[in-house]
Amino acid sequence: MISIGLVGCGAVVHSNYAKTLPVRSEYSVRFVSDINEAQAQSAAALFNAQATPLDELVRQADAIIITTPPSTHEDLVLKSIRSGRVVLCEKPFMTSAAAARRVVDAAAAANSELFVGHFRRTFPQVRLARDLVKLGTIGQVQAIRMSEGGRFTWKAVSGYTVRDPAGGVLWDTGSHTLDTALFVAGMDLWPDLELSKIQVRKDKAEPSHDFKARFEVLGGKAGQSPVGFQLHFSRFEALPNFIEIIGERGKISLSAGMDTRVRLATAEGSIVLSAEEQYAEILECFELQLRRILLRDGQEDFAAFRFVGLTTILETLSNA
Amino acid sequence: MPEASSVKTIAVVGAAGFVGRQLLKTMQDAGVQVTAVIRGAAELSVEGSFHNVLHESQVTESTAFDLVINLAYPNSGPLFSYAAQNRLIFAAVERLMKPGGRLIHVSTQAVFGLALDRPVSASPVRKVRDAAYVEAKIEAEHHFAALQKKGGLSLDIVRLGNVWGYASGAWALPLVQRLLTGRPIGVQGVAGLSNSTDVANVASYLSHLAIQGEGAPGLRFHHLAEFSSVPWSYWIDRLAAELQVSPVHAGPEQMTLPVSGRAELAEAMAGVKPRALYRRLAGERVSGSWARSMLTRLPRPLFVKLKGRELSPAKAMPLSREDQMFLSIMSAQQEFKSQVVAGWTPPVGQEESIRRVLGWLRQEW
Ligand SMILES: NC(=O)c1ccc[n+]([C@@H]2O[C@H](COP(=O)([O-])OP(=O)(O)OC[C@H]3O[C@@H](n4cnc5c(N)ncnc54)[C@H](O)[C@@H]3O)[C@@H](O)[C@H]2O)c1
Repeated sequence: MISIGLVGCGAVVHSNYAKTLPVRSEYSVRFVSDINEAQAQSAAALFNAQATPLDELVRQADAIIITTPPSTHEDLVLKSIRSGRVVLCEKPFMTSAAAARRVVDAAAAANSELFVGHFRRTFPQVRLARDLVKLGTIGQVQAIRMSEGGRFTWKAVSGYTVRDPAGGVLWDTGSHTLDTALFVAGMDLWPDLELSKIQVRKDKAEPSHDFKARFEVLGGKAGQSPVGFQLHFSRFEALPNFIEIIGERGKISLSAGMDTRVRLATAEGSIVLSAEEQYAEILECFELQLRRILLRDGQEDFAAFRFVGLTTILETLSNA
Repeated sequence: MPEASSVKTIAVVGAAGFVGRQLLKTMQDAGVQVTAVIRGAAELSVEGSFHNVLHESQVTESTAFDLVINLAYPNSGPLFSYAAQNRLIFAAVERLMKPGGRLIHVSTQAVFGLALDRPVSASPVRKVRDAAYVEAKIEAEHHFAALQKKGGLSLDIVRLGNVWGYASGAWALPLVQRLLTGRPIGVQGVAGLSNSTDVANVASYLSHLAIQGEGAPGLRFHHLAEFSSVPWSYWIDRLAAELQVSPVHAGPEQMTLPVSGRAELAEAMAGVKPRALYRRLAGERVSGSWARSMLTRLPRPLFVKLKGRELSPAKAMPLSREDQMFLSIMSAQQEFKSQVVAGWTPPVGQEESIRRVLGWLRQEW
């Protein structure tokens, strides 16, 4: 039985983790910790776990899950890594590319396995779209467009989404959408990437609630031309919730939210492909992600080094 | 443009929603300040600083307005909570109103059935069993009508058609999403009426009533759907052309039976051997030509499943409850005609409406 320590006992723990961690017998939440004692106590009751100070949790837990606001992630990850230990950090991973590199290196040096909880990577349409790109159906990726928006109703206990510079729509929703696009395009595996020709429009300084950007990403294998990006994320208005991956020979479109279908279009017309997996609700994908990581069965997709490029993009855009 | 001073104080309940935000913008453009009554974080609800923002919890007996516009309705949480949510909304609206004051309550054509399948008339409706949302909207009409009778207030009930338009989460977004993912967007052989109204026109009409209306005591019904006779196919074909996809229609039999739809699939698949084609692809011999050779033979969007490394025909799925509900609205045969006050014309016409939606879809900036 893997004992889990949960650091940060806010909204996502109550809405997602409380429903998905207890379903397996191979692991169980034993320790919870939060700087807000009331939150710690309520999570302790949820999981029938012990509310402990952070040091105690770090000493005792086999695996650690970090579910605190983004600006605290670096510090908490560095405290949590230890030889042989699985550490899962919630998205958005780090608030700077330098921090992302630091913790990835530190985890490797400590022989700890570090993962990031971008659970949309388990969505059926995302995996199908990625396979199609990998198989070369659209050729080399040239451009990516995405938008996601709607009335924002998430109620973070700490209020970081309206206060923390890394709590705006780009870091919060946009990190999901961008990550999905990078994963589908295979760009999360680019060792280094660089942005150029950046244009940004947003409603206000971070944390912003409406964010538009155009830019180019350079990197990847030799011969890869720059990939043009266009994105729009909003907490005010409904936007077309989709991602388009445009290649030399065709285009793949997929929903940003959970779905099973992908549209593949080429010059001759388009077809809709449907993935085999079907999930009745989104938490099934959340649970799948936890199982993949904690039971180390398909965990590769969530390895922390794959989120350095994403962090570079988020940091560059939010500072632009 | 009427003078802002001709109206007194106005509160909008449910101001953070899609229609509410448009209404605030329209009022702002007309130079009329309103108080936005909201539930969530103020900053995220209402942009800009032109209007006053009042959190629902701050509403007391002493904050009474000359005119209250109610856009709020139960729209989240479990269906069984709708009645309780309704009561909270009623209480908030009543606290905001002056005795014998004025209320514009925004309702929906759905009080005549989700698929507009009960007779339409600009008069009170009877309470009937229907979807939770519909029952809640009927309940609200009854509640405010009773209040009107008792207190002699001025009550305008404005029933809206399907509110679509730029950034409409209720209509533009689902149409786009269904088109892109090849989900049914209509029923074969059925030309449903859209009974639609552009959100900008909704905001314009409400603003017109608020600014121009005298607000004599009494109960008046208004119906707003300036595009009532426009068939859904008109909007859909324009969106589909923009997205370069073909709309998918469910067979009429799919609306009632658990379907197979295999015949349709077999027809689409005639002459195509996707399994073999995909095997070639997986064997990395084919790149673009696989999709191309397959596509050239397809008479309509094809649904295939990726299983392991193989491609096989997807079993046609029976329509979900959600699909059935959606398609029944899309199949409405009755027209929900506008019945609006004289002297108002919708500022946004049909072409302008679709132009704005396409602009939104393209995400141009
Ligand atoms: N995967 C998803 O879909 C998803 C969904 C929602 C949130 N999240 C992520 O989860 C994280 C938390 O989000 P939330 O909405 O639950 O936030 P929240 O504010 O509701 O909860 C965060 C909790 O962490 C506590 N905390 C803050 N600093 C701490 C520290 N140094 N040590 C211990 N506890 C500390 C706070 O007191 C609070 O209880 C964020 O990174 C967010 O992006 C992910």
